[in-house]
Amino acid sequence: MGKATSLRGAMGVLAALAFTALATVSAAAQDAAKGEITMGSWGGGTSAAWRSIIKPFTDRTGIPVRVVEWPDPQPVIRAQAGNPQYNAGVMNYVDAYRLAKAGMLQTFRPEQVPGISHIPPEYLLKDKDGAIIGVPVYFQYYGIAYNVNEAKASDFESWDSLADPKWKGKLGIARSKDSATYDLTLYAHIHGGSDTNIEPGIPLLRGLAANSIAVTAAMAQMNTLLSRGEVAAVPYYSARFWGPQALPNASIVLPREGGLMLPYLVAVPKGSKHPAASLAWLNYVLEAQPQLTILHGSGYIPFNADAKPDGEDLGRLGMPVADLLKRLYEPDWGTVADHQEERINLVEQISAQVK
Amino acid sequence: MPTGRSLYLALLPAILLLTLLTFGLAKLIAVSFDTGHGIGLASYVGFFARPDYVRMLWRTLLVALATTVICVLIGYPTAWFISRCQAHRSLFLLLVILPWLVSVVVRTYGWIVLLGNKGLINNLLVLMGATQRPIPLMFNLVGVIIGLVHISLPFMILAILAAFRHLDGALAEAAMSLGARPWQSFRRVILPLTMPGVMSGCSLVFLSTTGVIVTPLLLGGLRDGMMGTQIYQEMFIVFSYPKAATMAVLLALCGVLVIVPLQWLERRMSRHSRAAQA
Repeated sequence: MGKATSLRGAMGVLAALAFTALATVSAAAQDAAKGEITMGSWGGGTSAAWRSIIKPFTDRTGIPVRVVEWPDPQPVIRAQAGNPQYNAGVMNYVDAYRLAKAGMLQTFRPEQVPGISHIPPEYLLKDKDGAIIGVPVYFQYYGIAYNVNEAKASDFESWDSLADPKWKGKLGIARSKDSATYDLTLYAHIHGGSDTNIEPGIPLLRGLAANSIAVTAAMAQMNTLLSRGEVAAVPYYSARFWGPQALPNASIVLPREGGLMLPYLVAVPKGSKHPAASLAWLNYVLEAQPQLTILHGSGYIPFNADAKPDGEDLGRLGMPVADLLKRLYEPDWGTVADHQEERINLVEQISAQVK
Repeated sequence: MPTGRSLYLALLPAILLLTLLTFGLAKLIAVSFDTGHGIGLASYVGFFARPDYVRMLWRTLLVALATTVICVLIGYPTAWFISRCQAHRSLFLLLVILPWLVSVVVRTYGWIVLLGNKGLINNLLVLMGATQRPIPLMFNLVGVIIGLVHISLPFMILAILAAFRHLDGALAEAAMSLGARPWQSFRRVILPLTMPGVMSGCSLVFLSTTGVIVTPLLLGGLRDGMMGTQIYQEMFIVFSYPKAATMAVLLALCGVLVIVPLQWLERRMSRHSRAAQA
């Protein structure tokens, strides 16, 4: 009797174990079918902001998301061409356009990403066939950052102030890639040029170069220089001046001519695994709430027209998003990207001629 | 002594490494001649058509040379001191290699805090009344060279120290006992016998300095770009591989032109040194 009982007991335990194993295998198979997301992002506050929106998505879909920091999307995606390790990544429009042109990004039709209807159509980045290159998520702007002990906002009421000889040896300038992409584009626009004709912007860039002591080689480096007052002012990024992680002793001003809009999108490297999971993620990041969460954490301003910042976030922005947008210039990023290399060469030569 | 199969097996990693290096170098040279629609000299012509690039090449070589010379001037007495110091040699050696334990980026940020117009050194100089306004120690070649000397000095010290460790101390004593003054003993005996170490150190420092990226980027100014930084930009920002390869080939050629005579000198001095010690 005792032997039979223990045999039945052992069989019961075995059956329970087998059931648990089966259930685990089945759950794992289901998870594998759902896929997973490895998302590339710049580090610091940006990656922290992206991590802050993962949980609601995973709770809803069961798809785990991992945010991995990358120094720059273009070299990473180009290096992994044919065998991408990322399922998605955040990047600026110039990087996205160049990668898409090189055939390294997945493109989408509007019906694949229905949430795209919440994004004003003028902010969509499309390839030459009209396909969508990633989903726009947020933007920041390019203004003039200054050290509050070395300068004041009224010193930079116009972008032309950057060429004032009184700042000789006191300013910072973006590295040649960003000067060619952002400064030249904006300065040309301010002075009557266009995205194809940047000639009118050259004198201002030349003046800024003549006044510059340091180049923004890396964010951390310019953050240090600006906070310490080693540079009095530099064309810089608005998200550096947001909330608790704002740079100490520094602020940013939007001159009367306005600033440059710097938009970002989430794209999917071509041939990456788990395309269904990637699509679910793209649709999620287009929603208003994740974009508001990212704004709160990092200062990147939502593209979703339904994402209306309020309270503390609206106070930090200083004006409603619609008003801010009116003060920002958004160029044709495709044109800017197509001319990027030749303009980098131009900026290098301008810099080399500085006395 | 290993023979036959075991010898080949032992050599396998070295052969593999050499093959990969040779393949990489051949590929680099081939890419530098790639015009996009064939083979040609377009990238080389383009490089020499840009005066700013040519100046950058010269600047790179001059900065590397200045860094090497300063490293010799600081490294030689330091190595000599450490070689003569019996009691705390390990501690001093640890101090020499200590900078290597910290990332080059962090070390360079440290220099920003020290060398800037509002940095520690300038604040002290102004406070002591040595100068009325800050001296530009950063965002120029002075800053770049200071940063590079800091990074490269351990290579130089260790190379010279190795030469001092092989030096027979009795030779200097013999020279003194034969009537040589300390300076004569140093100039005629110690210096020639340690020159192979100096040459090795020079090769290491010069070559490592010509390819630096981070230090000129963070401590240099707008006009202080160096070839390593430019190659990095062409590779990872512009993605112009033929241009990057051309710059790398030219830099390597310049390195060879400097290093080959140094190596020849080192071999000659080593032979001389062995003969003298024998």
